[in-house]
Amino acid sequence: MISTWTHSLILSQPFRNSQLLGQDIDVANESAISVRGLTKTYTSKANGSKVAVAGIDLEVAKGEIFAILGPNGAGKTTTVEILEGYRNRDGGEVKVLGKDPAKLGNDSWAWRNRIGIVLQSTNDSQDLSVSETVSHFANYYSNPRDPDSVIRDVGLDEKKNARIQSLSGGQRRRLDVALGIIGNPEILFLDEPTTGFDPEARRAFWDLIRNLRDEGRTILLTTHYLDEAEALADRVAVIVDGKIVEVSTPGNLGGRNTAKARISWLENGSKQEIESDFPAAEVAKLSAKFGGEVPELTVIRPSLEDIYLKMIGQL
Amino acid sequence: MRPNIIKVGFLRGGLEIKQFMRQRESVVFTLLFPVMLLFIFGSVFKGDLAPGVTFSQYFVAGMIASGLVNTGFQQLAIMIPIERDFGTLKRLRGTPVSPISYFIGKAILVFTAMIVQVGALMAFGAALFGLNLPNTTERWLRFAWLILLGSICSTILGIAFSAVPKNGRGASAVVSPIVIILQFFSGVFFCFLYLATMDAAIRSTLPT
Repeated sequence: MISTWTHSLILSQPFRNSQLLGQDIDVANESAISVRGLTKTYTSKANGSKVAVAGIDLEVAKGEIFAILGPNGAGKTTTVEILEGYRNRDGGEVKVLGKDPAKLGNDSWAWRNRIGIVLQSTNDSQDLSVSETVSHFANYYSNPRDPDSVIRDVGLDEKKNARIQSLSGGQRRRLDVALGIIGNPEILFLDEPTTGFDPEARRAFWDLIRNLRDEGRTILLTTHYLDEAEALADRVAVIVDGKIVEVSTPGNLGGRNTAKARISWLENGSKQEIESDFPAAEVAKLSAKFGGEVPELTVIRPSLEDIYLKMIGQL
Repeated sequence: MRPNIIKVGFLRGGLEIKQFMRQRESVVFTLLFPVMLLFIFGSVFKGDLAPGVTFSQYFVAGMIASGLVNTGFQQLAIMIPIERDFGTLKRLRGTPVSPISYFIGKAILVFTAMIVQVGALMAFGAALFGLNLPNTTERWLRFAWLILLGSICSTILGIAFSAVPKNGRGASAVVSPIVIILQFFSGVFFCFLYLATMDAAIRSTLPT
């Protein structure tokens, strides 16, 4: 209903030509990233062939933070590097901002002009200062952000004139993000951005990522930290052995919201345990039976970690 | 509007020079090493190669040629694999920057380092070893275009050869011996007239 209304409103504006109108509607309905049946196998003489990505489907909407969560070696980086145009795929369809990253041709610069990439680990430009590097990268893009404000946004204002080699791990990562967003990208790819951070630096980094989302950017993030996915992501895909096990909001992952509670207590010298959808009622019954306190009573709901470990087959 | 590829190339050149100048080791080795060699060889080997031509004069010319190979071929063939290891190339590939801009930047770095090195060698050679500088505009022009041609060849060969070392750590071990052997056969260290005729055949196919 609403969409029909918007539609007629746009149509009633006589100065819009129909071609432009068509584009606008396309852009509004299109997802930022769309992946169908993606596969990738690595073959090497030493290790034979290893399936890194075994048929992945993904749909990332514009303006959301989407996390790909999985253990090391699950295929996260391979997937993201295919989306970034770094690697070729063996099969499947991929569209990022409406383009196939493997078939960019002469327009590749225009596509790269709209995306930002923060790689897993970098060690370059040691002898330049933060501000020299960020200002220089701004020259690569047609519509860059102001380097000073980007440096401020990532919290490196005090380190502006410091050489990159003097930065801490967390500061270095912030610089990577600064270089990823200097071109004012519509999509930002972050590959395991907080590995090796101390807890305080991680919190600050998460705030930075949330601000970027609030500016309307789409963010695709890979992580092997559960709490990171939970704190940041609008939706999470759990990936194990190159396959997506589930796509959900962090709160609903693994049926966590509807999972049964586990009640345990001590009776006749042995541990008793039941699972229930109505733990309060069960506890009331037990309490009546024991005439007050129940020995060693516990009521547990599975934590996100329990669910995640179960999903990746570690529990 | 796409940022101009040539302009970005020049900006990269400026950045490359800035980085180069901040690495004290690279400045010392690339710029002062040939001058040191010239000083040592030029002082040890005395005597005339031909009437009116001393070994030192011959050696200055040889060191200038070797400077072209060092700053271009050797430097790039070692530096690019290191940049590959450090993620510089991967990061650039993820931006809209054109590979042409990257190569223009490298060429500017090579050319600048070469001008400084050749200048130092010529100043030293003229002051201490009786090197005759070009004395007409025509000779200066000939010298200039030979240097330019040499630096372009050296840059392109260096970029091509950078694909050979598998990683940055081993690059210097792969590249340096090749450079030294090339220089030897090309008569940088000894007058090519004294080298056997067999290697004349090898030498005539080499770039230096």
